[in-house]
Amino acid sequence: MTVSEASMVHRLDIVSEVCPMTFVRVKLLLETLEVGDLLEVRLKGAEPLRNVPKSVVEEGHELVQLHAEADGTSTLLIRVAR
Amino acid sequence: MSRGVVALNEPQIQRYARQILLRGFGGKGQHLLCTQAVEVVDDSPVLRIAAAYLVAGGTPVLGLPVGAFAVDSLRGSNPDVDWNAPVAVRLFSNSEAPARSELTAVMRVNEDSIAWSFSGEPAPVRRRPGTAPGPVLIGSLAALIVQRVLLGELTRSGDAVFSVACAVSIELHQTAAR
Repeated sequence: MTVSEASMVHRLDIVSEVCPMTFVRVKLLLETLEVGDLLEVRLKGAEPLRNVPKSVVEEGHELVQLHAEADGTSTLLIRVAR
Repeated sequence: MSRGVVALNEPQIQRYARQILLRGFGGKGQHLLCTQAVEVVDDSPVLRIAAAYLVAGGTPVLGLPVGAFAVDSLRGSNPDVDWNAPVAVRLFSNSEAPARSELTAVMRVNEDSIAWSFSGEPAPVRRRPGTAPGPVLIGSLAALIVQRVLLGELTRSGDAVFSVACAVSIELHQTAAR
């Protein structure tokens, strides 16, 4: 897991995690961020790709972008909303 | 500025992962569950069930009688529990309502009802007609309510009484002759 706090864009790599730990990592980090901050999450696999964005929205945050990478990973951009 | 660092260590995150996922819990909620204790004044099957659920969720439960199933097996069931955490909620069944003093809440848990108070003695329960649902259902339900009290979610909604009755009917239908 790597987190960059150099700017208001935070980064989290959960490529090596499996559900449900994928969203646990995301949720724990989102709790510590300020409203309006951005979190970029890199994940891999069909199940995390299905579950993490859905859970992010259910928690009341905004899913800004979802981008599939050539290496099979995906990147989510989340804006902290609460 | 950060809104605060989650005070859970990695073994705690692994142990409580599925609970952390629940709405209203999260890392901060789990920390609240791990840092406040529940004291049990009486000993009953319902309270033992509630205690088992609470300890599994990270909350220390004090006051169960030594030698009962509870003390030894509960302490062994979750090595993560902080048994020195301050008492926030006191549970009782049959005795007089325990002094509230500095507590967040007191809760009376019987075979068919749960009543709690943030200000004094829980209100009396009007028994409902029907079959008592039994200690497992009521005990686990009481544990869920205690967790919400520890999370601070019920404090604003005030005192409450929750009574439960259910009837179970089992019918055997013969579908083929021997």
